[in-house]
Amino acid sequence: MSGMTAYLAKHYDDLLEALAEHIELVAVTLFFSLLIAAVLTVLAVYSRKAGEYMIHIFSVLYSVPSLALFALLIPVTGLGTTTAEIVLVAYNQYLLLRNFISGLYQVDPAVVEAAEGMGMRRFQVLWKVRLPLAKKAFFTGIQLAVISTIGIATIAAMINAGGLGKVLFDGLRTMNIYKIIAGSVLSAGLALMINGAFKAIEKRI
Amino acid sequence: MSVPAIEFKDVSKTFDGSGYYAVDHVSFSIEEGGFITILGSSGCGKTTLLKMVNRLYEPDEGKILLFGEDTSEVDVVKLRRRIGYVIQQTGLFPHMTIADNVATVPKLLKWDKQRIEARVNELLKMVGLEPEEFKKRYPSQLSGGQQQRVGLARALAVEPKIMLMDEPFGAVDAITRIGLQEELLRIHSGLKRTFLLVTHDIHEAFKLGTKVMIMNQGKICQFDTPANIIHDPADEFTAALIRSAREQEKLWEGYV
Amino acid sequence: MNEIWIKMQSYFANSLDEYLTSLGEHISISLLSLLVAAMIGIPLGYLCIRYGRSKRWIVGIFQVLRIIPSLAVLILLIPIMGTGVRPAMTALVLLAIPSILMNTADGFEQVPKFMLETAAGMGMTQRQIFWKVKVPLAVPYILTGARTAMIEIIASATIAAKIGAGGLGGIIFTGLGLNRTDLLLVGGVSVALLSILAGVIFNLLDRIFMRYKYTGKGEKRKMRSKMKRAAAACLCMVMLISLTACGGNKDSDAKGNKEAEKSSVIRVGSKDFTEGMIVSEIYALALEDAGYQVERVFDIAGSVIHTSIVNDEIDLYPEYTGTGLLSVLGMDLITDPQEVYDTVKDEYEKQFQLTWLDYSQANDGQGLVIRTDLAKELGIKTISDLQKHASELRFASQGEFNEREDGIPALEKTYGKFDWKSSKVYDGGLKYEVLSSDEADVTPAYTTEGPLADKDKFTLLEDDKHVWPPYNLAPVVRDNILKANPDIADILNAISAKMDTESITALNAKVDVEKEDYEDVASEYYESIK
Repeated sequence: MSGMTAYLAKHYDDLLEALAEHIELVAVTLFFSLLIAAVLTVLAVYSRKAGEYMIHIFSVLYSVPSLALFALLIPVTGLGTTTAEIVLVAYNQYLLLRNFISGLYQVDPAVVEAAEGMGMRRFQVLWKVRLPLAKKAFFTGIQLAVISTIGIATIAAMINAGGLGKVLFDGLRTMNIYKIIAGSVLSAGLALMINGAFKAIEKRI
Repeated sequence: MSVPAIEFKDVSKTFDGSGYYAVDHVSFSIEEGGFITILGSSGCGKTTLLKMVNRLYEPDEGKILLFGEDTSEVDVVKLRRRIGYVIQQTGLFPHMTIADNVATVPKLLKWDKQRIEARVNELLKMVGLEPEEFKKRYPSQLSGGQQQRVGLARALAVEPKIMLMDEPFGAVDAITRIGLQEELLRIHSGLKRTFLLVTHDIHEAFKLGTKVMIMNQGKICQFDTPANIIHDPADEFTAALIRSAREQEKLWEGYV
Repeated sequence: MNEIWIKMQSYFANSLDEYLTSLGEHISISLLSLLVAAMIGIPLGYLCIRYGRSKRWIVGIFQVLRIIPSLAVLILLIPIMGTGVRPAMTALVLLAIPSILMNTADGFEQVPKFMLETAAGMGMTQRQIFWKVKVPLAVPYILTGARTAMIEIIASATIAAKIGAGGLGGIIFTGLGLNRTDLLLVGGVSVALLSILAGVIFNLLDRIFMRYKYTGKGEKRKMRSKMKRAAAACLCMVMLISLTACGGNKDSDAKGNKEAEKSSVIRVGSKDFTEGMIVSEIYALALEDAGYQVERVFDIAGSVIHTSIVNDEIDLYPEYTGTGLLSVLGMDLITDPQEVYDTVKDEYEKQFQLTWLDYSQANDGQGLVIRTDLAKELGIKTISDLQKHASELRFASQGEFNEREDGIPALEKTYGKFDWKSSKVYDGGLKYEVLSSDEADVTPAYTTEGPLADKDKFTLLEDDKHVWPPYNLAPVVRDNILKANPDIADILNAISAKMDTESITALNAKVDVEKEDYEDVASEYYESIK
């Protein structure tokens, strides 16, 4: 135990740096994921078929293990954060689109009908009726995406994207128990904390 | 005097010991071969009463006798296999074909294959469904009315002496309902079994029942033939019921 | 594109058994884990519903498990369970249970009450109701849970290769380390296909067992559009793959040797093992001491680092003369240290505009190490002895070693084929542990590795047929950087003059055996030689 505290005392700055890298990776990924998902969702509203195609394609992509996708992308985009971000954004599309689109379409058809009957155009229906009612589904989608990203980002350390995974792999390489524990606790802790935060916000909505 | 098919002796049922009686010290006797409809609004206890016949609910007080046998002394599973039970949502098993659904109880009783198959064909014909067309289908492929017919067939499978029906046509549209009601009457007259049907629709109750049991707040207001009830309502509640039905008829008469 | 295709074909031609073994390992560990997870998760899921009270906290625990990154779960088990298949499977099972459990619970919960009541009303016993109504109606949910679990398992099994569980992940890791697109493709596509296949199989199972769900009107139309979508997805995969293969051909054009101004920042690179990092750290400290600003770009895989320096991603790094000769230049064996040095110095200057500074006496060669007890038992002292006994021994490879020009290929050319009893890939840091815990017998080693100091436990085998050249340590620097900052040469040469094999081995031992941090060890050593 004293060994653990000694390690922490000496290396807290490294750990913090890894944590910061990790959070940065997640944040950047999330930003682009949401941007792209928003655009694709609007597309899906205009053409349900396109929406179904997109979800299906991304679901296939999602079922491919992250390491495999990294491996396939590296020859094109090299090692480092870029490749990681591309893969992560692609994964998130499945989670986000699936929830966004089903959230928008599971709105009670009666309500939509009433709105259309009042003379609202498609886009107005989207904006004033579907969106507000789909808030919960959107929220869940984002929550899932964030947790998933935190998890896969740990693996991205293997392709030089930095982050908490690096601590884990370093620990693995030198069989340094303190590093292993620190890495695991930090990554698990991050995920749990963010999940908790989401849950708290969910209650307020 | 033959043994009554169903006899309730001072039967009561409360839920959660709330002191409020869902069924309040009810006694009656039903002759074999009758078609009894139980009429009342929601919460009057009619469904609770029905479910005590096949012991889905156990009475808190009193005795229930079926053909003279005290139901509490019979093995409940064996009891239920002798009684047909039809509910509003049909309760058809979505993962089984129509044939398998109808054959549920015969299979439980381990009849042999040919007997089952013959019986299934017979039953489907009886409820007005062409066996070859419907046997291999799944419930989700049938309309509401067709599903309910299958539900009937399933309940009739082992020729039960007593048929319990809990608002069987409640989920079906008005036009289909009329057809089903006629069907039911036809089946009843053909079989001469005892039918017990719960409904909140006064027209259905009076049309189908040889005797009608009117319930209110856990008690039986009146249990008599439709004609007697109309001429001689036992209490204000029943009288009001007759009056409102009359009002509706007057509306129709005006258009003749 | 063609080049990659040819490489892939040759990989399959040469290493088909290894590939099939990896594939088999991956499939078997995945299936087994799923089975165990199902055996635990399904009953638990049912019990949760049955005994509602416990549901809350059981579901809670497994929800938490789902949130924790799978990598953390996997690696966290190592201090507890060691390496290999067992901890890997434990982790996989743990990761799979939540999905199965929660979906099973949902499945049982959603069976409508009236359905159960009807069944009871018809005279079914509790048991019959359970098996004839509850279970069939819950099965679709359980299948969904199993499918999600399977995908998760296949994905985590890929990573588990790093802790010695075998499987297709090993091929990907080797590809990463050696920067070989063909391996990346073989591994990546295999795993992807496996995953997709699992999904397809589960879909099929769903169709076969739940025929009743697929009888609605318009089913045929839905089927057709589903096929269209599947085709679109496959098309995407193919496009991705061809994009990759084409992109991999991107030549590492030397990013021109433009005249560098007196750099404000020197980028010091290091390879991804202890010694490399210690030495690079020493270089970095020395440069910083002399007033330079240093950016440390550490932990670069062994065979990517040369490409890195040529591509101007780093400015200097410590290299071994033997590696330069055999691996980088692809030339033939030379056994005289000076000759090796002169050769690499000339060629590097000519071909890459890179300068080899003075080499140190520290010789970190390649070697094979065996557990001492086995060496004594089988009388193995040299690599020739080893080759004869190969079929009795388990080899713990580090992936790259199997493929590097100065690895197994070089050994087999000289000593003949090594027909190992078994050969598994482990992460480099685990090899001595794996030997100690009797999970394997032989592993590749670098002759200055710390644990080798303990001759009672580990025996370094003699390279009697001289496959390997000397591997003297020296800094390799980009010409333009050196031109702009000529004092770098003096600084680093001073360091090299002080290093020898003994001191390097001791430094390694401090990190690998005594678990000190490499930065501390480097800094301590630097202070002592300043």
